[in-house]
Amino acid sequence: MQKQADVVIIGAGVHGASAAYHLAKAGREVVVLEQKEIGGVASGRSGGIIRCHYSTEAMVRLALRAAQLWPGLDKQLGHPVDFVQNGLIMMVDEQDAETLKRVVAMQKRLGMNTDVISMGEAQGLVPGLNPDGLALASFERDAGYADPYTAATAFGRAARAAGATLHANTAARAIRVENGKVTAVATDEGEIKTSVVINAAGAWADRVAAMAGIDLPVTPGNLQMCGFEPNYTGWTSKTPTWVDMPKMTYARPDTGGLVLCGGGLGENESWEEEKPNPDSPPSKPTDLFEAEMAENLGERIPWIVGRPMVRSWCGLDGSSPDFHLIFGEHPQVKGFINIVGGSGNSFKLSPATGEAVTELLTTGSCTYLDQHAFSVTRFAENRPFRGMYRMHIVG
Amino acid sequence: MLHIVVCLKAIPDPDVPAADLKIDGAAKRASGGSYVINPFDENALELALKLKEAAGDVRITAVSAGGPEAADRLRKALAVGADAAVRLEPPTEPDAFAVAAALAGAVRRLGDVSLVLAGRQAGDWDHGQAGGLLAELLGWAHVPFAFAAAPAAGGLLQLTRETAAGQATVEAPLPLVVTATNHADCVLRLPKTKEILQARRATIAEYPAEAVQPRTRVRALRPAAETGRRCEMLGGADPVAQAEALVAWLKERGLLAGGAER
Repeated sequence: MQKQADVVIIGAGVHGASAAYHLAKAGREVVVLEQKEIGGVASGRSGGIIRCHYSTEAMVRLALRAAQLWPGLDKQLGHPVDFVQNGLIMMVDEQDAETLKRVVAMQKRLGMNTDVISMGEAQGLVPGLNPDGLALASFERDAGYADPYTAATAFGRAARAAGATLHANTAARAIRVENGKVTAVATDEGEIKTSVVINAAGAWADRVAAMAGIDLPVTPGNLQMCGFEPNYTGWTSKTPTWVDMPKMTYARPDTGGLVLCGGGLGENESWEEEKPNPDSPPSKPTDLFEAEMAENLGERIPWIVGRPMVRSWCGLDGSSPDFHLIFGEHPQVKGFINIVGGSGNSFKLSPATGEAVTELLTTGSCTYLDQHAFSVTRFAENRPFRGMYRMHIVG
Repeated sequence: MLHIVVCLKAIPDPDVPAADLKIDGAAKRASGGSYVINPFDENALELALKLKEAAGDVRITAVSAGGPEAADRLRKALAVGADAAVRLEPPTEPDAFAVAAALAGAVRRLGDVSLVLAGRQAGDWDHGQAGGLLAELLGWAHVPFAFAAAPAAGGLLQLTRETAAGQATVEAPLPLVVTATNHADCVLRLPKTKEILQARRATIAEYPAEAVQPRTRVRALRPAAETGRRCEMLGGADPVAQAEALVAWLKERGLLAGGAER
C-alpha cells in the first residue's frame, strides 16, 4: 500500500472511478479504496438512464454537461460503455401540464434539445402507449442509456491507464483529521498520507463521513428495477424511454429487448419504514414493487400484460434529504470532499462529477456544476433542491 | 370442497451474490440477502391456484415451518390467492424427517385436506426428501416432478410430470401428495398491490411445535474452501504464436501425451 497520495478516493462506483480518471489525467497521484468490487453496488444495479430533464437549472446544467460527454465516452476511456441514444419522453397529467411547459422553456433556454409534444405524438414514438390520465409530454431527443456496470469498470480501467491505483476488496478503516484538515487514511495494509479525501461511498457515505467526525445527512436507500420480456415488434432498443410522472414509473428498452422499469410510489414508502443496512442488504425488490411495476406497465403499455417478469434486482445507494447529489468540500474538514447522496439518480452525472471535482481541486471553481446549489450547507440554510412538479422529488 | 395444503419454505435468496452470503459456523446457519419462497414451492402454489381456477370449490391453506421469515413469505402466498396461512415452529435441525412430521401434523390438524402440494426440493439444502417422507407419514401416494395438474373424471387428479425421457401424464385418486418442478406453465403469478396490502393485515395461524426428534444433525457448516486461483497470461502476437506458446507451456509440464511434434 502506498504511503502517500495527492488524493484518496473512497468508493469506486461511477463517481469515484470518474474522479480517479479525471484527477489522474490531470497529473494527480490518486489512490482509490473500494471495499468490494469496482461498480459492485449502486453503479452495477443502476437503471442506466441518461437524461437532462430536470426542473432546476443547476441539475439541467450539470446533466447537460454529462450528456455531452456520454456519446464519446467509450472513445475517451478506450473501453465500451454501451451508450444508446434513444430519447426520453416525460409525461404529465393535467395538473402538471403548465409546469411542464415552463420547465421545457427553461430547458430550451439552457440549450437542451427538447420540445413539448402532445400525447398523440408520444403515442407515435412509443407504439401501443395508452395515454389515459396523461395530458402532455416532452421529448428530449438526445437522452439515452448506457450499461452502468460497464461504464464503472471503463472509468476504472481508464483511471489505471492514467496512473491511478485502484484497490478492490480494500476498505478505508479510519480518516485522520488534525486541526480541521485531512492528513491520512488508514487501511488494513497501512496508512496513506494525504490532504484530500473524496467520499464517493454511496450507501456508506455517512459512515465514511463519520470517520472524519462529520455527521452527513445521507441514509442508505434501496433502488429497485425489474425486467419484463415483451412479445411486441413495436418495442426496440431505440424506443424512447418513457416516464409516467403521476405514477413515478419509468421504462426503457435494453439491448436484449427487455422492458426495464423502475420507480413506483411504494418505493418511497419502504424507505420510511426501515433503514437498510448496507452490510446486509436486501437482494430482491419487495413484492409490492414487483406488483406495482406489473400494474403500472400493464396500464401504460397494455401489450406487456401477461408477459413474464424475467428479472428483478436492487441495490443500495445513499439518499440525501432532497434526493439530490451532495458535492463539495465539507465546511468542517478541509480536504474532505463529498460526491454522495445521489439517491439512485446520479449515474447519468458521473462523467461530469469527475470533471467537476478535478476543476475544484485545480482552480477552485467548476464550469458546469453549481457548487452553491449542490453544497451540503443547503440543508442547514434551508435551500434544498425542490423540483417544480407536484412530485417534486422527481427533480 | 377440495382442501389443498401448499407447503412452502422461506429460504435465503439463491441468487444472493457470494460476497453478501454469510455463513455462521457456530450457529450452523447461512443467511444473507432477502428471504424468498423456495422457487419450486412457488411452482406448487401456482399449480394449486390453477386448480382452484379450474375446479372452483377449492380452499388453499399455505403452510410453512420457519421463523418470522416464514410468516413474511406466507403473506405473499395469501396475496397471490391462498385462503389461509399457518406457520409452524421449525425443527431444531434442518432434518427432512422432522419437517415432514411437522407438516403431517398440520395436515392432520386441519382435518379435511386431501391434496398436499410442495416443491420437489428446497433451494437451500437441496435434500428433496420432505415431500416423499410426508406422503409416507400420511399414508398417501406421492407423484413427483409435476408441472401441471387438472381435475379428471371420477374425482381423479390428472398430473403431467417431467421424466428423464420427456413427460408423462398420470391420473391419481385423492388423497395425494404432489411435488412440483419448474416449468414455464407453473411460474407463480405476481400478486396485485391491493392484495399485498390486504395480506399485510391478515392473521396467520400458528400451530405449536410437534415434539419430533430430528434424525439427522448438522455437525459443521463452512464455506467452500478457497482453492486459490492462479492465472498465467501466455503471450503471442497472433493466434498462431499464442497456440505455439500454449503447446510449449504444456510440453514443459509434461502434460502432452506422446510428445509428437506437429
